[in-house]
Amino acid sequence: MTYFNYLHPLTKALYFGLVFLCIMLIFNPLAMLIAWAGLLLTIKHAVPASIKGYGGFFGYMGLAIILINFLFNHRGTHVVTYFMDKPLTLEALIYGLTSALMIICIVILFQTVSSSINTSEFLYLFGGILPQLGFIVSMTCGFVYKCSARGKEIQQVVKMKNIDMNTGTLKERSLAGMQIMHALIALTLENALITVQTMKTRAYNMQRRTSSFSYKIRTRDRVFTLIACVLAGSLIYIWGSGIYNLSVYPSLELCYQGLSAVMFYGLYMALLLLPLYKCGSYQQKLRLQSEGTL
Amino acid sequence: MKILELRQVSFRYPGQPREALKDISLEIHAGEIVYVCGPTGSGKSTLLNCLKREIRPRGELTGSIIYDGQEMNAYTDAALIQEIGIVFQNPDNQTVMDTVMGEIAFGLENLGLAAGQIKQRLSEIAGYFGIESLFHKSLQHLSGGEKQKVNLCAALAMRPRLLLLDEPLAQLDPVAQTELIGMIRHLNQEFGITIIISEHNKDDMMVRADKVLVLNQGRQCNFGTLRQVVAEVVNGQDENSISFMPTPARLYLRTAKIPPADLPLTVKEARHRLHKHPIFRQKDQGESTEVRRNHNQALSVHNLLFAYRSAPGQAVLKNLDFLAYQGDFIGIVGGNGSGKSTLLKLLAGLLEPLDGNVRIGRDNIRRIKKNMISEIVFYGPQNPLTYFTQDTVEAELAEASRQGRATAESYAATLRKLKLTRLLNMHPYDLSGGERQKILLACAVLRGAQILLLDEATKGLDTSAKKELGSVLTELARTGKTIILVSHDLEFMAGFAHKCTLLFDGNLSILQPTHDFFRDNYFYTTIAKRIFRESLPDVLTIEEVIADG
Repeated sequence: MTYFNYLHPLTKALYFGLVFLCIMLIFNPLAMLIAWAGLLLTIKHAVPASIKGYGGFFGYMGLAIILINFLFNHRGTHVVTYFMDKPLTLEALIYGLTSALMIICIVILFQTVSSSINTSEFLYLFGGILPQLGFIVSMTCGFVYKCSARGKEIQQVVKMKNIDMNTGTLKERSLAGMQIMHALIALTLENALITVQTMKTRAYNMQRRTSSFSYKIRTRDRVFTLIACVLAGSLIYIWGSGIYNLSVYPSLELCYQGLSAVMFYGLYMALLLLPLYKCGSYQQKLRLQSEGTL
Repeated sequence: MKILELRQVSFRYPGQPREALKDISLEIHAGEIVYVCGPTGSGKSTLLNCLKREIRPRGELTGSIIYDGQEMNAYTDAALIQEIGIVFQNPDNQTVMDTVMGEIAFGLENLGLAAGQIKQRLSEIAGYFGIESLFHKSLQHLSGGEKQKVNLCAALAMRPRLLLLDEPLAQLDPVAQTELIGMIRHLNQEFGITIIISEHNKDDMMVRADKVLVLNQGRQCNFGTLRQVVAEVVNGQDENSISFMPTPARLYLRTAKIPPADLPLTVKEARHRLHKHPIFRQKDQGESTEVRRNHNQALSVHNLLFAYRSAPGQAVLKNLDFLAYQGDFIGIVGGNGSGKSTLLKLLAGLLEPLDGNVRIGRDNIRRIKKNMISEIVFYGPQNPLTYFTQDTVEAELAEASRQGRATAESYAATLRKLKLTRLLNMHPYDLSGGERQKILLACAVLRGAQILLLDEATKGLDTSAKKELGSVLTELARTGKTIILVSHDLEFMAGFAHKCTLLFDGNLSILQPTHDFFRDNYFYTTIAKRIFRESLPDVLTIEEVIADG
């Protein structure tokens, strides 16, 4: 756990909201690369999120976006080559690359959000506004793991009946998939009857629900929020001037460069690395504690 | 002080000709533990559900249920919901939220308590029951025993005065059972919570109960203190009720004529009586299991190494060796999470070992086609419902029959042998646990499987269903089928398995004939063995002794 993990859920949610906004707004390849690197550094040091196994997914998805845009979007003036008498342009390639990076960054950001804001914090954030939504989200989280565990078990067991989605023709596999789904739905519904009973026995739907979670905004939250707002505000203000926005179509134009550009991207990096604030000192104190020297 | 009184309570499900409960009349005093027993379908769950008004099943209820001096229907929902708590059998299906804290707080949030109040109750529960370490854990990472503990805590958070427990131990391993029994007893002793618990043959719980209620086909057969019930059962010679009595009492009921008041109810009492009057001797065992054994190798495992992808550094099975012959009925016991189910799945070819060989007959399983493996080996999962993909028993059996190319004669013979004809038009989900296990076995037989791997097949079964399952398995083994059963049920293993072994630390102990396996065990053994440890060291079940007197 680091400094960032102990912050108020609202502070964390606001920070992630600002980062999301910046990723969506500042659309140029360099900014996306910075966002990508910043998020990876955050995951490594401050908010350990599970993106293991996503490598292949990111690779294929990024490649697909780049290829699709490159092959099917013919806008732009810098022609790289021709394919089936259609021009393939540098603009489409750059646009595809930036879009792919943006989507990858957003997926990583969401992974970071889910590992940083736990269910109770989520419920606290949304429970007040939409009590039923918060409850449904938590219940769905519980339901999804149960359902996926049941699905895996059924898939494994029915292999004994030669029902296997991984072998056979497409028709056989589809049929197997449908049979597994049928068994899964039946089992889930059967189990849901008990779940409904247990909900009824614990006063569900009897009156307006309250929330068991309460958090207090402290000085550290105020300081963090202030820094995050100043950084994000400055970035959005500068972005508003338009000089760092990548103009791809109709013709690729380079963004503004120079010392102020370095400062702009520096601010962006600072915003992304903000969860690392006090990270080192926390970890050092924790290490010293475990060594018994503190 | 009476907390609950039932006067001539009867209940009939819609469209059913027979009452599920018939003329139940009893009084329960505050602070008592009432143990409800009876065969599957005797009305235990119906009775408990009728006592919890929010989940009372649809149907016709007659008679009066008086709670704390007032008709139950006179209470408001808000009052009653907190007064009476309930915990069901399956630990998984009862959880609603995704974390332990969320689960325990669920009821309190529904009651509209303020955050501070909820926090105080949560901290009290967590501290008292020692579950702080689990508090922020996701429920998916808890064992069955831990989940049931959380379910109990969630019910207790509402501060009930009456707690209804519907077979809460049925799905748990012996260690978790003992822990939960201790917790239930503690709640009763220290807080005076009235507890009504329904179970199948849980001697530990039964002897701790203040009252025992025996139900059969919805009728109240006996109700009173355990000793009163035992006396009534002895006088009535009701075979059904006898099978639900504690093992030491059954031992003396079957073999020695002694006054009901002197019947031992616990192992301690039985040992004490045995010391004074050593009247038992061991029956002749007849043909030994070694003589019965066929020498054709059915299944062998050599150097089996396995770890899950999620925890590659922690091998579940470490260089395991195992050999089963045709006609063997082997029992594998072991603690929760020791890898018993994993071993069965590896033997069935459902999982791929990291290293080592599994051989069916003389052939390596890797060289046998997948669809051929399923013709020889049958894996019966812990939850039979995960196996059923058809809407009727008949369709399920027809599918097995088609895949196993069974003849019409063998189909009819299987139905007859396993007494399944009346179940053919039913949905597998509408069957009892014992009936589901029989359908699984029928599928295995119709598919022509020679090796049956059964995972916790006795879980949640009542005495007669276990007996029936045991004799079917014994018969199948006699016809040359190899049976490997994984179970926590030591009494069942001792009564039916030819050989037993223990899975511990990723490896199996020496596979020994059942009697040899249990001979040296001190803790991990049957009730009869505990009674006769010194006097008749070879005795494992009460069926193995006869009385001289």
